[in-house]
Amino acid sequence: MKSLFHLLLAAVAFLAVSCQDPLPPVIDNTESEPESGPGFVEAVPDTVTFTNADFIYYGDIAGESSSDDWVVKLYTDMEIDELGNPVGPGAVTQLQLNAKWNESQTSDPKNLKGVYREMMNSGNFAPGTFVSGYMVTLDLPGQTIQMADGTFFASLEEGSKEMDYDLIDEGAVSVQPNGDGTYNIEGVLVGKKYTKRYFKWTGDIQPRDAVPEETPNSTLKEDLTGLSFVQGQLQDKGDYFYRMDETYRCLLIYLADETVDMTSSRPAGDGAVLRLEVLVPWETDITKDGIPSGTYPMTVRNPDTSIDKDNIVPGVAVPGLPNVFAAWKVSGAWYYELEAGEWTQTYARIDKGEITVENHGDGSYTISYDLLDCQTVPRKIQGSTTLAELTIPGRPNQDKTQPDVNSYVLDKSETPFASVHISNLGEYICIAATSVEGVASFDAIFDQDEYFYVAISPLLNGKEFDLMTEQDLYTVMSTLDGAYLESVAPAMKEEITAGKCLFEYKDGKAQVRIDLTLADGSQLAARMEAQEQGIVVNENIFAIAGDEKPLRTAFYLKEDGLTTLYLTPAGIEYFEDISITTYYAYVILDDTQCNGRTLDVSDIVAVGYGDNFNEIYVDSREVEAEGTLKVAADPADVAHYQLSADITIGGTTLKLRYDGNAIDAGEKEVVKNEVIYSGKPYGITSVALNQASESTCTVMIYTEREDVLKIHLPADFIDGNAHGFSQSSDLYIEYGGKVYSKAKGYSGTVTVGRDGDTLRIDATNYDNLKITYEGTYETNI
Amino acid sequence: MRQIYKLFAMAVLVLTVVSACQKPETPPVSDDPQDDQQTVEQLLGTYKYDGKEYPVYSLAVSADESQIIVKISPFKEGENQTTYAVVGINTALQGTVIDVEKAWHNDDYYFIYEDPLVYYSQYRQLQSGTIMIKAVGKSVKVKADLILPDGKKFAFEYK
Repeated sequence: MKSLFHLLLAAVAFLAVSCQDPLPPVIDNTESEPESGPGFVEAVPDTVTFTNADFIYYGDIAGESSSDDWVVKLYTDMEIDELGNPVGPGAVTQLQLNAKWNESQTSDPKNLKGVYREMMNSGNFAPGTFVSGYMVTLDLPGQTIQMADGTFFASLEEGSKEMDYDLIDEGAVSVQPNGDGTYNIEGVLVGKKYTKRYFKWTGDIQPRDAVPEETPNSTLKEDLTGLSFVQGQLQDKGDYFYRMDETYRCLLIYLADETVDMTSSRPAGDGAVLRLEVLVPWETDITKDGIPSGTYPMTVRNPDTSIDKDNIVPGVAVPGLPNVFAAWKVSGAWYYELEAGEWTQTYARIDKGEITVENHGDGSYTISYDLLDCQTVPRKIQGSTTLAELTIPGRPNQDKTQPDVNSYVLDKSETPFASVHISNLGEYICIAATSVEGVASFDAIFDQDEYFYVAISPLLNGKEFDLMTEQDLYTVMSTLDGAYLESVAPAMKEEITAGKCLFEYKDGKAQVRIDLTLADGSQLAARMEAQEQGIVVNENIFAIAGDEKPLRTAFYLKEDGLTTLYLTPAGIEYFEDISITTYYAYVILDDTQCNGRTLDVSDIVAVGYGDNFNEIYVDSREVEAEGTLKVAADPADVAHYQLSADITIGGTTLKLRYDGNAIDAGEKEVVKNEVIYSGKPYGITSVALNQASESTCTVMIYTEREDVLKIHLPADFIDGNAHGFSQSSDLYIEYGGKVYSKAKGYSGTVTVGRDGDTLRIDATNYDNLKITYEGTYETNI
Repeated sequence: MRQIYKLFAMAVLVLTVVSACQKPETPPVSDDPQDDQQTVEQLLGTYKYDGKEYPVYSLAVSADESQIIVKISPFKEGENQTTYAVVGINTALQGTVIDVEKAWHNDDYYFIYEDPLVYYSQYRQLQSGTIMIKAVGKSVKVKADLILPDGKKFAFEYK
C-alpha cells in the first residue's frame, strides 16, 4: 500500500511536468533563449561537462540477484595534489547506480545502458534506480572525516580541496551507447540544495572490477565415494529452527576419522568429518530411542538460505547453510577435513541427496549417505558407516559430579572451558567462559554459539549465595548445549529449581563455583577462574534496616566550617537528583572532625536519612540516635572522603561504608542547548512551541543547520515527564528529511516541560539524534 | 479505509490533470463540482520567488471531492512549461488559511516549484507559511505565502 501511495504521489509530481519528457533535456546554452511570455525571460542553467570518469563494478552487493551495483565517478579537469586530492576549481559527481543484474558477475558496460531514477525506498535496489546520497563518518587516528557517498554532486572552489557536497535524492540519469563503442552519460539531478545539476559526459567505459572475491562453498575436485568413518557422535539440537510448535526435533550427527578428537561437542584434532542434521519427531529421546530408522532426503533451502516452515518437518535432512565456514557457526550438512582443529581447504557444503539410518536397537547404527555438494557440477559424497555406538555429549560414562577448574559438568559429563574472561559491566563483576579456544576477549565470548556467564553485584563478592532466595542482583546465562538458560536472576528463577554460587574476586583474580539444577532436572556444575587487570569493584555499602545495597554516589558540601556528606545507592550525577532517589543518608559535622577518628553521633551536628519512596525523613536532631562513625577528608584531594558509620536512628539501623571521590553538591547540571545529529553537535538558535491540532503540539527547533527539527507530541505530554514513542502515534521526531517514530521502527524518548518562560527538552531516538535544551521559547499556545 | 479512499481520489485527480495537459485548448465547461477544471490564458497576475517577481500567464485548476490543485506558470497553456508552481489543498480545507507548519504535508497541502535552475518536489516539506484556496463558482481564490525548504520565499495571490 505504501508503494502504491508513493506511485500516486510520484504521479502527482509528474502532473507538473506531465507534458514534458520524463528525462529533462540537458540544456544546451549555446542555443537561443527559450520561449517565454511577455515580461518573462527564463533562466538558462549551466551544464557541467565532465571530462574524466572512473567506473567501478561491485556486482550484486545486495545479494538479491536483481541488480548490480556500479559506482560512476565523473569529474572535470583539475590539478591533483601529492595525496591524490583534486584541487579546485572543478566539479565532481558520483553516481551509485543499480544496473541490470549480470549472472556472471562480470563488468559488462552494456549492462549500464538505461535510465536511472531515485529508489522507491532505501531497501529497494531495483534496476534502473540510483542510491541516494548520504554522509559517512570516518574515524581516523586523531581526526574524524565526514564525506559523501551514494549519489552526490560536489564543487570545489579555486585552490580548495574542500568539497561542497549536495546529496542527490531526485532526478534522472541516462546512460546510452553511441554505437561507436563510446557512451553518453547525462542527466539532471536534484539534492538537498534543490539546485538542478545538469551534466554530461562522453567517452569509453573502462570498468574496474571490484566484485568481492567469493569463498567457494565447496572445494571438492572429485567425487568422494566409499567414504567410511570409525566414530560418531549424536547431539539433540531441539527446536533448532524456532518453530515453537513441538512438531520436529533436530538431531546432529558427526561421523569422523579415528584421528578426530570427539571428546567435546565439537570435533577437533585432525581428519575428516561428515556433519549431518536430520529432523525427527519431537517426542524422540536420543538417550532412549536414538535416531529413528529411515531415509532422510535433503529438504529444500531457499536461495536466500532460509528454509520454508513447511519444509521443516520430521523425516528430512538439512542442507548446509551457505557461506558460513567457522567451525562454531557451521550449520546443516557439511563435509570437512581438520588439521589441528582448523578447517583445511578441503570441504563441501552438502545441498542434495539422502541419508539412510538403520537403528539396530542396541545402540549401534548403519548410516548410509548418498549426497551431492553445492557446486554447479556437483560432486558426490557417498558411503556407509557402521558403528557400535554414537556417543552423546553430556552422557558418556565419566560419572563426574564436580568439574575441574575451568570446565563444566552437565549430567555427569565434563567439558572443558577453553577461554575464560572477566570484566565489569557497570559495577557488576562478570565472568564468561566458552569451550572455544583462543577467544581473545570477554566481549568475543558472546560471539560463540556456546558460552556460560555469571555476573554479580559486588555485595555478593565472596559470599556463597542461594540463587533461589538471594535478593541482591546476580545473573546467570548459558547457551551450553543441553543447558540453555536465557536468564536466571533474583526475579527470574523459572529456569532452575535449585542453585548455589560462590563468586570470589580479589586483586584481579576471579574464582567462581556454581551448581544448578535446571528445570528439566539436569545437573549443571561449573568452575571458572580467570585473572585480568582493570576490574573495578565498588566496595562501598549503603545498608538501611539490614537491606544492603552498593553505595554508588556521594556528594560533599562545605559551608560555614561544616562538612555535609550525602550518600545514596543511586547512580546519579547531580545533587538535585537526590530528591528522586529511593534512599539517601547524610552526616553533618565540623570540618575539623573529618580526621578519621571515631565519633559518637552525639558529637556531630546531625545524621539522617531520607526514604523518598515512603516519604520518610529522619534527622538525629529530631529523633533519638546512637552509634559511632568515622569520617576522613583527604588533605591532598578536596573530593576524597572515607566514611564508616554504624548508627541506629529512630529505631532504624544505618550502615555506611565509603571510600572514594564525592561530587561537589554545589555543581549545577549544565544543559547544553544542542542537537546532536549523526554524532555532530549543532547549536540551537531558537525554539517555538506551536499548537498543531486540538490535541497535539509541535516543538520547532532551529539550529545552525538549514532544516528545522520538529518534535510532534500530544499536548498532554508537555508535562516534564519522559514519554516513549510507543506511548502515542502522535509522538515522533522529524529531521533531516526523515520521520523517527514507532511506526517507522524507531525507539525514542521525549521529555518536554515548561516552567514559565523556560522550556526544557530532552529527547533521543537512541540512534542518531539527541536533543537537549533549556531556555526561552516562543509559543502560540 | 480512509487511506484507500484518498488513494483512489488521488488517482482520479492525476487522471484529471494529465487529461488537462493533453487538451490545453479545452475551455472550462464542467459544472460538476467533482471535476471542475479551468484554464485561463491572459496575464493573470504575478508570483514571487526568491525576491523576484514573475508573470503568471496560465492557471489551471483541478478539483474533486478530495483535492483542489492549482498550477500556475509564466508560460501560456500549451507551451512547454519549464517553469511552474503547483499549490494544492485537501478539499475539506478550502477557504481556510492553512498553516503549513501545523498541517500535514502531502495530505492537507501540496506544493511543487520548478524552473530550469531549481526543483522543489512534493517530497520537500515547506518550512513555514500559509496557503488558502477557495473555489468560487467556476473561479478560484488562491493565496500562498510560503517559506520553502531552503528558506527562499514564494508568494502568489489570485482572486
